[in-house]
Amino acid sequence: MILILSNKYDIAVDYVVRVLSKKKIDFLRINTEDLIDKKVSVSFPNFSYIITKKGMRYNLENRLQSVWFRRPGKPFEFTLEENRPRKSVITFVEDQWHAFIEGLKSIENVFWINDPDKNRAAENKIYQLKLAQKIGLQIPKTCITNDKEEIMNFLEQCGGKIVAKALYSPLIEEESKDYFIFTNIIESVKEIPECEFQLAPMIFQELLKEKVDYRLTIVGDECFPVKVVRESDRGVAEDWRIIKDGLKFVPCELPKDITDKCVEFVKKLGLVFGAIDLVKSFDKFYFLEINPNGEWAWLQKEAGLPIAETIVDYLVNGGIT
Amino acid sequence: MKMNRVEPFSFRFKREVVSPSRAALKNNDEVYDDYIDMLMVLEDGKWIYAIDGKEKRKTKKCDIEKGEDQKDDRIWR
Repeated sequence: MILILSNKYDIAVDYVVRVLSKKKIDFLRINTEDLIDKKVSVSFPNFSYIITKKGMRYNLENRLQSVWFRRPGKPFEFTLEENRPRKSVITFVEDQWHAFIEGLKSIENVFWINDPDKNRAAENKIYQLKLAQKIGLQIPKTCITNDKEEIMNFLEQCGGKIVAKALYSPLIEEESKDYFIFTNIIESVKEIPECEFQLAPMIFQELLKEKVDYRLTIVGDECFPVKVVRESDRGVAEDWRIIKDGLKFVPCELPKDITDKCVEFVKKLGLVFGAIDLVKSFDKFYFLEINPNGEWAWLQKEAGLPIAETIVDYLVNGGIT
Repeated sequence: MKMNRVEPFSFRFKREVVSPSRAALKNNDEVYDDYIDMLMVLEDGKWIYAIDGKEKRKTKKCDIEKGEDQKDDRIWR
């Protein structure tokens, strides 16, 4: 059996579910935000790992073949604010379910896309850049710091223009609104109070001129590259995620040397799936980052890439294709 | 150093997420079908699979997910 751990609003899962259903492959989708409405139990000494869904008891210990660890939902995540328990209850409940889900790793001989521990480790951008460089992928000149003087020196080294981005998740959740930090161009920091930098380290990188963005989605040995262009077929000067409309994701080919290194990179991270951001600037490809559990549903739909089918192949064959 | 009023430098570049969170959406035009394990949406008076819908997703997650999603968040936190 294939187990999918996600949430009910994760559209990427629907693409995979459709393929699984069409092929009549045995699967169990658990939207983990709903676990609080389901019954589960783990027993010893005769080890069993039971989840009940729609009145059926699934003993994962003797049925589980593969897990797609997609985006497990949190308990109460989709509950309206006024119906949620207090924060301490939510935190406690989340922690207990987290441990239950993590415990699935105790079931032996199971193929994971991706192993959650590897996902977690791979999310670190410093680790990513170090490994990418080691493998031979070109990376932009980079300085990760909270030191204003370092930033000023780096700006000078890079000809007076650099980009800045968050070192970890760029989402800011305020009480009434949420915000997002995209990649921004910096030309001077002289007037900025030092304490703003000191508060949190940030990534600063050389500005890659005349850049064209590429998104390379990898599933095992399979590569799905797309070029990110405006309707006019020009590249995007700024952070392409800022642009909501008028973007095209065009399936393309990348040099074999680049895709080979990216596949190797994903494997070295211990991942099966990875979504890599690359940039081409003056005929040179640069590695920017990998999203170990990156979004791809829009590429399946808009660019017609068979990513869901490939994920299913890997889940069915346990990584041997 | 007093830091209680200081915000990180990166906050200077924050942009408001355009769409609401899922919980805030209260969307009556979509429903998760537990029997087929897929999300259904109401379009032109008919219930269809959300993945076949014309409408792009409207949630905050969708806003931020295009290309970015470290929302595994050490699984959750």
